[in-house]
Amino acid sequence: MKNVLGREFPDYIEGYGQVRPFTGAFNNYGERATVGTKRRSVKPAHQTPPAEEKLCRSIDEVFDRIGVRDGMTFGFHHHLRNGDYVVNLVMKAAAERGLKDLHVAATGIFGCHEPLVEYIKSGVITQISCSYISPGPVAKAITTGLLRKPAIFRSHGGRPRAIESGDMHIDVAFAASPTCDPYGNVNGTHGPSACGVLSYIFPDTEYADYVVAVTDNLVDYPAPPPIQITQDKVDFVLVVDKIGDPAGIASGTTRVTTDPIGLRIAESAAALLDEAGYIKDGMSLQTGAGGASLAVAAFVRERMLAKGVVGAFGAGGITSYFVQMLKEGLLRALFDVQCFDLDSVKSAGENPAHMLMSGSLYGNPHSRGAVVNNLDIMILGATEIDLDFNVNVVTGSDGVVMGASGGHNDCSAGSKIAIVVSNLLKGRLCMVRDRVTTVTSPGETIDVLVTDRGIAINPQRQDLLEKLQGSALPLTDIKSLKEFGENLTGKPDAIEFTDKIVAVVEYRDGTVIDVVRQPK
Amino acid sequence: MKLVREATAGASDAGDIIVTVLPGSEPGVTVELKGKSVVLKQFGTQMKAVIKKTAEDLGVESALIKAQDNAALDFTIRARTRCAIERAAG
Repeated sequence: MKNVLGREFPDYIEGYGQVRPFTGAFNNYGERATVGTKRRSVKPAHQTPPAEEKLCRSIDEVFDRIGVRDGMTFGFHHHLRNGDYVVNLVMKAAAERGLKDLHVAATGIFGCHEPLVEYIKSGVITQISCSYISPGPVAKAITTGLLRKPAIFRSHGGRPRAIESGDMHIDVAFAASPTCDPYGNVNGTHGPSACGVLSYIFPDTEYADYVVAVTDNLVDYPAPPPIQITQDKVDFVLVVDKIGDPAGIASGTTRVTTDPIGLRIAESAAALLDEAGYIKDGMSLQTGAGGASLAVAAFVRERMLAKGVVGAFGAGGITSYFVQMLKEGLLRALFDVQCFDLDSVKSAGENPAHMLMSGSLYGNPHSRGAVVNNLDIMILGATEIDLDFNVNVVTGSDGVVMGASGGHNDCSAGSKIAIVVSNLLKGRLCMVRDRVTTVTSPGETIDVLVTDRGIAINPQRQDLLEKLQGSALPLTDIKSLKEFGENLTGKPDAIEFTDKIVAVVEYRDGTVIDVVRQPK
Repeated sequence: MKLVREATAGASDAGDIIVTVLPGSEPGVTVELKGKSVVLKQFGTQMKAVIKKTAEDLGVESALIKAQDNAALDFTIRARTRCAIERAAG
């Protein structure tokens, strides 16, 4: 079948199931049911023999008490980022027990998860689903078709939607817990492996059959505030030596780019927002944590200061830059799904206006209203964009998996204006293509492309085009940008693919927006 | 143009290319191009052709040209190739 964007795939994908094709960004709303859950109730402490206490001293004890078996789905979250030890620790123990056919439902996969490649090869892991993946060994294993079932890429809002609707059932959730008490109250902002908010694991702690808090910092009951996961959600507390490497968890302070081209792009984006009337009291803003996206926030901040504007909130993955804007009173609140640096970890632990939001609250289209719906301005990156403004952030133009949706299509759909900022040329590659290699976010949700060679506005946004008539900004159209780029790079030779589907890219509503085939 | 020695031009920075020219042992210009596969898969054929044409336009009849690319554009490739050839021609 073909979906509405002309992307072709079978009606049924082996290892994934029946395909619901993408029909449009705003077509799939209405009444939705959530799936039932199972839980094991716990007697009062004075009625609980020591062998039945939540506290476990080894992963094997946890596995024994759960009765883990082949074919299970394990949920993980990625707030420990490239310093995470939890996924490897659990999967190593699973491999040693001889478990097979496991599904790793991690919200993010990083370079530190290289050991998974061995388990993929040996059939311990046969499926991976994630919302984020960094270029590296696991991404390569997916690209080269080593997984027995296709990987599933869901957005940060799409993953909780899949769990709540029953599309993806988590058997056991492992919550990396920087501070935890013996009864399972978890604090993410304190302890040697503090990583801030634990937002992405919340759907798992609500809906998984078993929830295990994995900690390297066991404290007396009750754990210090703010407690993010409460004891009523947690079956077992597993104490290990270390849950992560602080050097890989968060950088000290995230910095705005110093690249003059990146700064120029950011400055144009901020000027466009101002001219189009988006910089005003009550405004809200989200940017990626990349240097260029973050630079837009820096220029927006200057314009807010100059105009005396106070914004309602900043959202998304939070950096020191947003923390500073909160402290300065330029933003009244932050909604945080992930702390990118130590300043934001500290702020999340101290400042009540720095609020955590779950993945579902962040972007789930089938909730009673996600925070992205309240978002005015979204600044995004892109690997490729096509003449219809469809964006790819999943594969390089050679078809190699190098990322996943993250919150891209949640935020582009929810925000009033979604702006992609990028250099037109990335090395010898022109990022504007006739057709993107893989669609992650549909063009109907992308409003503007700002590059170093000009700004293209989606013709669907006639209102924006009218507002910006007579503007001194370097406005052009997307076709001209493509021609300018291709004059320099030449026309790329087409990449050849096999028929093998190595990953399924779901839109946030669970429909299939595209698939990734193995490159030849 | 006759080449008498091995010569190199260019740099390893992003957007640049290192071109090394050696006098050929047989007639014709042979090009060996290395670099990132994402670039070579899409532009490798074009880039090799640019190097070969630059050499032939300068009248080089016999050469082995080795190039290490870091995502250079054609004008850079032409400039580095020409520079390496003129250095090699003595």
